[in-house]
Amino acid sequence: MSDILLELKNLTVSIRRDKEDIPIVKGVDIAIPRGKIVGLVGESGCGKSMTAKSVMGILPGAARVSFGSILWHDPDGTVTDLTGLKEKELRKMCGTKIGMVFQEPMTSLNPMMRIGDQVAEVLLIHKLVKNRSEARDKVIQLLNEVGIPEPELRYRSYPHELSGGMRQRVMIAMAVICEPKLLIADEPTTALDVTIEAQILKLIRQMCEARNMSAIVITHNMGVVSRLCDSVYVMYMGRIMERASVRDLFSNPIHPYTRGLLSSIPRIGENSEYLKTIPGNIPESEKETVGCEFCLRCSEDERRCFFERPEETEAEEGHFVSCFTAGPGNEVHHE
Amino acid sequence: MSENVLISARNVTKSFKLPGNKRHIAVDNVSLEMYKGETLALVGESGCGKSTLAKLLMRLLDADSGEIIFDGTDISALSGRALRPFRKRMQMVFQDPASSLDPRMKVRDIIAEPLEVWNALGKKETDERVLELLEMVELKESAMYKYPHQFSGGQKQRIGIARAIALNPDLIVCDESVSALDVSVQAQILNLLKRLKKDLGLSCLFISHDLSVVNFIADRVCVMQARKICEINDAKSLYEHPEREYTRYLLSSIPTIQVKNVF
Repeated sequence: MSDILLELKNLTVSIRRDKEDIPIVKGVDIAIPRGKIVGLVGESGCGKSMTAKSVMGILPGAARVSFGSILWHDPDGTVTDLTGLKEKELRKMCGTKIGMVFQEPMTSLNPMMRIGDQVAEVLLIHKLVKNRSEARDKVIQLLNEVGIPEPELRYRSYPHELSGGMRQRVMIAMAVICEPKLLIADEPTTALDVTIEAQILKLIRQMCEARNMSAIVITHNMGVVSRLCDSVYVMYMGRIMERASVRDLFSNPIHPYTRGLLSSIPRIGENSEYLKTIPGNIPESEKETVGCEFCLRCSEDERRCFFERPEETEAEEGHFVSCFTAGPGNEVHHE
Repeated sequence: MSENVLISARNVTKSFKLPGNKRHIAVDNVSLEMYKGETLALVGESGCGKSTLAKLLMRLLDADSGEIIFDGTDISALSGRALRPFRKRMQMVFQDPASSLDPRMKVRDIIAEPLEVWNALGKKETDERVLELLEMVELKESAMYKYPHQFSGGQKQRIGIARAIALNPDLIVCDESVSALDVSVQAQILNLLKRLKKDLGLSCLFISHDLSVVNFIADRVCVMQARKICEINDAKSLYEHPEREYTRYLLSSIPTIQVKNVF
């Protein structure tokens, strides 16, 4: 049994516009180990949601996986490429083995359906229970587990009767009721208050540990990553810039982009006059760049970044960086 | 001390009508003073009444009871024409930069609108002032003749800020003005706000749910909980020695990062 549950290999997602394929995820390699929580961070438009959506096969109309594979490793050793599956097979796969939690719980729940019935629907569709009353028992038990008080009563509530945090708990219940092996959470706490955010992060962690479930957590919040994840991938303009365990990334961020991101976060207890920023904006140009995607905003002054794309190098054990400054013969220097 | 107070609320209550003769109290008997030139942050969870309180201070909503005193004048009873001179002195920067700019107006017209309403400058002077404002928010001259959709989120927020400071107000209210932005852009906008406040001597009421952002920008912090003010103190003392249980709870909920070697 391999330790890897899901593997994205050289995944490229393109959007078709004006008869031209514009890549938005560019040859991404990600491995999700069993029982681990992997974070995918980056700013809006960097392709992190697209990466996750390609796993579920729910890319929006104009986008498609144009290259690469998404390999699912079953415990018995069989490997399935999700990109090659027909819709029906994929649906069965996604429903029972992969669960997903979206950002805005209000828009992803059906406002006309009682929450209990919505959660139970998943079980009935995938025929995991014999009848409705069995489904009901299971749902109530799970609602209790995700921390919804008085689950018997709440079973009959409509989404608008619940607070944002409670709705997100329902979403989590819905995502895990089929006992999936992988949970994909796309900005699960962005719409929530800090206090509720802390509770939901703890809940996701607990659910993963109790079920030996893996998770991909997509977020732009470095704080969420440091609280929740085991390892982390930093994305910029469709490419992985740096990947490492959470401890290594935060104790020794190497890529100039990661360092820029981390220093942009205002921190309590640090009273500097102004925040450090990454100069400029994410370029809008959709043309394929020859060099490093980050070269225009980079603090390191190296000419070859404009003409050459850095290969991924291992800066320390398990810590990979795509930057010339981290390459062999180059001292990693911090100012 | 009262001379230094720019705006204050005294025992302000606001409730909204609900179906079936019920009322929802949004702000309950709140008193608050804001000094000239300071940045006061209003923090709390969603639904605690922080936006309602800001709107009451700006007279965008009318309070059920209580007084709003702006620079020595009770403005809570003023209406129409008498209120207008005060309107000019307080401006707002909204949360979502995309929906607070008219998509069919060019940036020049968006920023010039308050000037045209108030100052009746000639076309040439208005253009000059717009240019000056664009420079202040670090946008290029060419931005004048573009439409909002041609800008990124951070740039749109800069346009919103330029519009808010166009009339040299005494007070700007930033209602979650940076929470829709990515961290790197958020940092740029926070720096901009801090610099403008210093250069123009603005007072700023900064509404946010993000305590680490507030720590960076605020001089004083007011924590609201369930319609009331829970704790109000200097930013430094509040973060170092929170007095109330609820403030401690809020502070402990912030996901913190231990980072070394970044700087």
